[in-house]
Amino acid sequence: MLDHIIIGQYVPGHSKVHRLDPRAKLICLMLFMVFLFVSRHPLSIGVALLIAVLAFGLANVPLTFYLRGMRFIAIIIIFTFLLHLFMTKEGPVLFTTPIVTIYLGGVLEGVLVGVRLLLLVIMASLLTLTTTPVDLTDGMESLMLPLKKVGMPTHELAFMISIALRFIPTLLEEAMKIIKAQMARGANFTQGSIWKRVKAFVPVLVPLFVQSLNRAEDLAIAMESRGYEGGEGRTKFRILYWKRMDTIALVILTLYSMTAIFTRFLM
Amino acid sequence: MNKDIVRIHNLSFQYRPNEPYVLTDINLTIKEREWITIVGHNGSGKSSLAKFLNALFIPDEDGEVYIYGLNTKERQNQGKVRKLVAMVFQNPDNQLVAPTVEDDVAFGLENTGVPREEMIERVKESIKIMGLEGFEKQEPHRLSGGQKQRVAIAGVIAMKPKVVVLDEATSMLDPVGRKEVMEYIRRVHNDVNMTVIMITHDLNEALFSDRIIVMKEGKILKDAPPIEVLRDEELLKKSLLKPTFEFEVQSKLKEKGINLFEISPQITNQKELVDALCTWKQKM
Ligand SMILES: Nc1ncnc2c1ncn2[C@@H]1O[C@H](COP(=O)(O)OP(=O)(O)O)[C@@H](O)[C@H]1O
Ligand SMILES: [Mg+2]
Repeated sequence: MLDHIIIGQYVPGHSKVHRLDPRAKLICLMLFMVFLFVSRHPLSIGVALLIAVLAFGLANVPLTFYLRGMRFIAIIIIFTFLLHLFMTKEGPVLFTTPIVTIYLGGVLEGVLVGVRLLLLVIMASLLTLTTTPVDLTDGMESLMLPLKKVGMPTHELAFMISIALRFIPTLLEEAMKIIKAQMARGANFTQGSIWKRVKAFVPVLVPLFVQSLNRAEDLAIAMESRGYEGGEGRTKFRILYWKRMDTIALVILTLYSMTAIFTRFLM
Repeated sequence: MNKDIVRIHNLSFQYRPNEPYVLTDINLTIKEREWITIVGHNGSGKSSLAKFLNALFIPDEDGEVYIYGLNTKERQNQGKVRKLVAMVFQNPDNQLVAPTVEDDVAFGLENTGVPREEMIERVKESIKIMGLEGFEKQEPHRLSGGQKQRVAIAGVIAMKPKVVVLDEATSMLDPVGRKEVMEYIRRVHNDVNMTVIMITHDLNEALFSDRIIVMKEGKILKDAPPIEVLRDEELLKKSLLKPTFEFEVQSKLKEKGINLFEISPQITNQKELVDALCTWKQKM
């Protein structure tokens, strides 16, 4: 059970998408998200679809991984589709019932919003499915680097995230241990009212919290004794390589952005 | 004669004023390449003493700690001292910082600004010494306790310190993990030529050392070679330490009038014990 949470989203692999520089993936995703919401014209939606299909095909991650946890998203997509379907009153009337009237504009708008959301979710999942959390953190740190000039503690932020990621599995393991220990003492986490179940978790959270504080102190001493003094004067073991594939991906997304702008504002 | 790598002079210490002294009047010299074991029951001040060795703690007025002749009281020495004396701690989960084994081994090198090319070399070398090849990309939480401690030691020796201080580094491990880690510590001592200061309350782990330092209530009770300490029942009782199996057998036999010590003055492991018993039997 824990293993699922521990691995998180990442699906190991060596596909072209896996091997892209995390910076390239982050920038591409950002461009994709922004210009997806600019896209209205069938041409630019078509290009977006094409990019998604291409990325999906190249990534070679089994469909089931996308579907995991998709239920909630599906509800949102269907809900927004219906909302637009019923609320938009444009174009010719398709059919009328005593309760609602459906317009062609409503169908188009509903489909447009639905497709946008779907593409968005697919591309965002693709990022977390094909990039290790470590690479993601590295990518973010590197992209945030310009912000260091305006006083943003970029190293510290990235380091915090990376320590948090490192300790999530450890804390989960510990939580499981405490839960088992409390169960052995007769605690019941699965029966009773919601309030009762929530209350049953208090004796889990308190020791977990106390132990985390001890852990933090130990870790600080260990880091200090290994010469950690913040980001100043530090060299890096991990570096990111920008390859030709990354440039190509970026060019494709730039072309898409231009298509989106052109079809939206100039046509 | 080897150089003095650690010299502690009249060190006393209390965590807060008006609290009892945790260390009182410690004097200690450790030479290069020695293997020292510090034993003592819980709360005898071992960890506190260890923190003085790499300038995590600094003595107040009277006491002095010199590492390679550098006084830890002087601020400009403290960074150097941390590089000379490396520490490995008790809880394997609370000292690995990085997401993968190789990143963690590199952590100290990153902190001290070692150029990347050299870093890669040194990480590779340390991973090899600690027998962790093939685990480079592994995440810490997927390793056994013994492996985690080996990663911690690898991270420490990558910094090329002169002294490694291990503060109960084996006490949270199962017997297999202990044996495994001990084996690698011995390798660090013999092959990499490091001075080892090992803190433990398991006397079995003290057998390989050159000297055992017995602590009680912040004082050094005895500083002597293993055999001398292990044979001193009075001392072990006083300092609440559990004698090793072999010595317990010997002292029980002595109560019954069988003096194995006359047969073999050096019984430290089970084989030697069995040999001595056989010799005794033949003499009967
Ligand atoms: N951070 C601290 N603050 C106050 N007292 C402490 C602290 N750490 C340890 N002590 C006290 O110092 C004494 C020696 O502790 P320590 O050096 O950890 O012993 P050991 O490592 O031999 O078990 C103990 O009595 C302990 O309660
Ligand atoms: Mg201790």
